[in-house]
Amino acid sequence: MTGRPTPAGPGPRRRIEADPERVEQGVAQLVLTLIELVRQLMERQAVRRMEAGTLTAEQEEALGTALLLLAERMQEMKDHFGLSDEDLNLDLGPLGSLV
Amino acid sequence: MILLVAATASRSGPPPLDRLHGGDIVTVNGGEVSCVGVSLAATPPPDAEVLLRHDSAVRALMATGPVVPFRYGATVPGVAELRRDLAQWEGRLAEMLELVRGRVEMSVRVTRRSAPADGSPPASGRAYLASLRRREQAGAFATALHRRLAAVSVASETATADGWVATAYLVEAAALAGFRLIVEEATAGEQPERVSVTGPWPPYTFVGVSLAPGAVVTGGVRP
Repeated sequence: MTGRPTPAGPGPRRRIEADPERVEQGVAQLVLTLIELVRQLMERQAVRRMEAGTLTAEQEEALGTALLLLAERMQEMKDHFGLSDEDLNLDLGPLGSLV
Repeated sequence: MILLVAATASRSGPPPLDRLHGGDIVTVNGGEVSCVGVSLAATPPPDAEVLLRHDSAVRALMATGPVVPFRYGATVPGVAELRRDLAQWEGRLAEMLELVRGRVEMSVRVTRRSAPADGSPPASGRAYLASLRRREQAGAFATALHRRLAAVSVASETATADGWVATAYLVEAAALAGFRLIVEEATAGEQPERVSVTGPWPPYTFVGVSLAPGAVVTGGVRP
C-alpha cells in the first residue's frame, strides 16, 4: 500500500536556524506550530461542545467568532513570516502528522 | 523523432494501432518488453484533444495486455536510441508490467459541498462553527470511504487540498465490481460531500514513466 502515511524513516528534525538572519524565522515557525496545534484542538473541542448541545446560541456565536478571528490572525502571521500550512505541521512518523 | 506511448509485454503481440497524431506507429521489441511510439516531426502541443487521443492509444494497447504508459511528451531521437533505452530499462519495465498486469486505476474524488467556492469567510461565529463541523464530517466520510476502498485495492495515492481529496487506486480488474459497490453504498444516503468516480484508467499514477537519461520517473499525465 502506498497511499496513506508510509514514512520510510525518520524525517528531518526541526531545528532553529543558527544563522542570525534566519533565527527569527525559525523561532516563529516553532511558536506558530504550537499555536496552530492549540488552535486546532480548541476548534475540535468547540465542535464537540456544539454537538453535545452544551452551548447556548449566544455562546456558540461568541466562541465561533473568537475562533474565526484567531484563524484569521494565524493566517496573517503565516503570511507575515512566509509560512505555509505544511510548514506548521510535524511528521510524527508512524503516528502520522501532528495537525 | 519518436513520441513514446507505452511499454507493453512482448507476448501481447503487435499493437492494434497503425497511426497516432498523424504519424506511423513504431514498435521496438526487446526480449520481454516492447516499446510503442509514434514517428513524428514534432510533438503536438498537449491540449485536451491530443491528450485524449494519446490516452485512447494507451487504452487500445491495454486491451491486449498490461501497459506502462509513458508521460505525454517523452521522446527519443530515433529507433536506435529507443532500442538502447529499452535495453537499459527493460528489467525495470518488466517489473512494472507485472505490477499492473490484470489491474486498472480508479480515481475517487470527494469534494466538500459546504466549501465556499470563493473562499469567503463565514458570515457569523455560529456559521464558522457549523463550517468546522461540516469539515470534520467530510474528513471522517472521506477517511472511512478510503479505508474501505484501500482494503480492496493493491495500492493508492492521495492528493488533498482544502475542500477536496482525490485518491487513485490500483485495483484488480476482478475486484472492480466490489470497488464500485463500496462507492455506491457509501453514497447511497444523503451525504454532505460530493463523490465522483472515474475509471478504469491505464495505471498512470502508479507506473507512468519517462525514459529521461539516468532516471525512470513515476507519475504521468492524465487527460
